[in-house]
Amino acid sequence: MTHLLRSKTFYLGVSFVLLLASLPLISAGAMAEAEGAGTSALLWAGTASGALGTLVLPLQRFLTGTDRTGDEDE
Amino acid sequence: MELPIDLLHWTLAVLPIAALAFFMIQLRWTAQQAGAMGVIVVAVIALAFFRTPAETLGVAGAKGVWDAIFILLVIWPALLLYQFMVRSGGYEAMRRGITAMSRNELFIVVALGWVFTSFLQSVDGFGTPIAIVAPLLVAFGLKPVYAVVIPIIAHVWAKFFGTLGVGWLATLQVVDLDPGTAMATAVESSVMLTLTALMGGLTVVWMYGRWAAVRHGWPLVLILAGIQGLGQFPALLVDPVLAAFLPATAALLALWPLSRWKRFAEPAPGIVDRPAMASEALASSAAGTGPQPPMSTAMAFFPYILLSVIAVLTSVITPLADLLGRFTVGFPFPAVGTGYGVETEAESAFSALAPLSHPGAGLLFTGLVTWLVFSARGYFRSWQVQKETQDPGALRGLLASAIPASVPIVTFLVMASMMNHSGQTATMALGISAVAPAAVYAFLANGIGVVGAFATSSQTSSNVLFSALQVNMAELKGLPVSTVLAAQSAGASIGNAVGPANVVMGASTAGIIGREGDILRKTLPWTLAAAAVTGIVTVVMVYV
Repeated sequence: MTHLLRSKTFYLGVSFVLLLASLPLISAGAMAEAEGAGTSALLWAGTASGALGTLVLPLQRFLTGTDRTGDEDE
Repeated sequence: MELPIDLLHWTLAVLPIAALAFFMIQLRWTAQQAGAMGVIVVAVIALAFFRTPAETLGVAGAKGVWDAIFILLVIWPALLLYQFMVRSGGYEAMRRGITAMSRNELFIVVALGWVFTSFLQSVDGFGTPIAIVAPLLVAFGLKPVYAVVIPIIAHVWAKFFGTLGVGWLATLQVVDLDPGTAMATAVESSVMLTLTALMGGLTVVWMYGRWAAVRHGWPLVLILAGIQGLGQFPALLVDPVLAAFLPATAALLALWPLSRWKRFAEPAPGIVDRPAMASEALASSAAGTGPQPPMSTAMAFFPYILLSVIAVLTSVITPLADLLGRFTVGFPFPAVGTGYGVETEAESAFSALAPLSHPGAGLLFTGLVTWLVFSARGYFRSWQVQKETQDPGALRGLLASAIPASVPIVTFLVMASMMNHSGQTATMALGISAVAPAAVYAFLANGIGVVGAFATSSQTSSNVLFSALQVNMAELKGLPVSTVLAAQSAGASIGNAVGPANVVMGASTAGIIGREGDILRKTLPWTLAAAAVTGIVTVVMVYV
C-alpha cells in the first residue's frame, strides 16, 4: 500500500477518478431521493467516492511520511 | 436565512481559506494535499457548526466537481498543445524568434507577459492566458516561478470585462440595476482597474530587473497602462462587453511602433540585476547554441494565431456563437438546505456547459490542427533526431502533467461549493459588514471580492456570490451602490492573482507542479497592495 502511495501517478489518478465518479452518482442519487425513491445507495456511494478521493491525498503524505514521489514519476 | 453572525462562526467560516493558505504557503504542501485539507476542514466545520446535512455537503461537492470541469476543459487541451509544442521544437523556435524581434529583454517580457496575456484574457478565460503564456516565458528564458507570477499579476485588470464581458454580464444577471447605476458601476470599475493595470505593469518591470528596470521601462508602462486602462472608457461607450477586448487589442497593436523606439529596441545596459531571468537560458540564447529547431518562428506562432482567431470569431460573430452555444449539458440537482435556513434551489441542469463554445473547444481544435500540420511537416521526428532523445509520447506526457494539475482544481472548487452551500461564505461577508462602519466597509468592500476570487479562482464566480450582498450592504450603510459594486468587481479581479486554480494552471504548463506555494508567496503581497489601493480609491470615490 505504502509502495503504491509513493507513485504520484497512482495516487493522484485514483483520487481524480474517485472525485469525478462522485458527480454522476451524487446527482442521480440525490434526484432519486428527492423524487421519493427512498434513501438512495447511489447518493451515498457518490459521497463515499468523493470523500475517499479527497482523503487519499493527505493520507499519502501521512502514510509515506513525505510528498516525494516514485522515481518513475520524477 | 438565520445564519449566526458572531465571532465564533465568522472565525470558523474564515478558517478553511486560512487553512488552505497555511498549508500551501507556510507548510509548502503540494496544492493537491493542501486542497484536500481545505475540503476536510470545510466539511467538518459545516457538519459540526453550520448545521449542514451530509446530503447537502454531498450535493455541494458534486457541484464543485462540475464547476471544476469548466477549468479542466481548458487545462487538458492547453497541456496537449504544450506537449505538441515541446516535442516539435516549437518553443525553441519561438524563443529564438522572440529574442530576434527586439534585443531588449524587458520589452519582450512586457510584450508577452503583460500585453499578450491581457489580449488572451480579453477574448478567452478560465485560466487559458496563464496556461499559454507561462511556457512561452519559460522558453524565452524566465525562471518558471516568474513565468507564472508575471502573467498572473499582469492580466487581472482584464478579468471583469474580459472573456468578452462574461464577468460584467454575470453581475447584471444577479443584481437588478437601473441603466444609470449600471453605467456608473462600469465607469467606476474601469477607474479602479486602470490603477490595477498600472500596478501590474510596474510590478512586471520591477520583477524583471528591480528599480533599474523601472527607471528604464516607466514610459513603456505608462503608455501601455494608459492604452489598456483609459481605453476602457471609450470602449464602454461602444459596449461594456468590449471594454477589455478593444483596449487590449490596441495595446497589442501598439507594440509594433514601440519596438521601433530605440529605447526598447536595444538592450538596456543599466539593468544588471535580473532576478526573473534564468542565467543558463540567457547564455544559450546569447550564444545561439543548442539544436536548431525544425520550424520558423512564424510557424511556431501559428497555433497561437489560430487560437486567437478562433476565440475572436466564435465570440464576435453572434450567429456562430449562438450555434455553438446551442448544445448544452448539465447534471440535475435537487433543492438542499441547512439547519440555519441556507437554501439552494433545485436545478434541472446545474450551470449548463456549452462544450462547443467553451474556450477548451478552441484549444482542442487548435491542438489537433497543430498536430496534423507539424506531423505532416515532420517536425516531431526532426526535433527528436536533433535532440538525440527518445520521445515517450505526447499522451503519456499529457497524463503526467494534467492529472496533477486537475486534482487540486477539483478540490478547490469542491471547497468553494461546500462553503457556499453551508453558509460559510455568506457568514464571512455578513460578519465584515456587521461590524464595519460605512467608511471601513467601503475600504473593505473589494476585500470581499478578493476572498471570493481566492476561494473560487474566478472573477465571475466571486461577483455571482457577492454582488447581491454588496448591493444590500451599500444600501444599508448609505453608500453609493455603483461604487461598492465596482469595488467588488475590482477586488474579484485582483483576487485572481492568488486564485489557487490559476496558480496550479500556470505551474503545470511551466513545469513546476508542486511549487504553487512559491508562486503564491510572490503574488500575495501584490494582491494585498492592490486591494489596499483599491480600498483607498473606493473611499475617495465615496466621500470626495
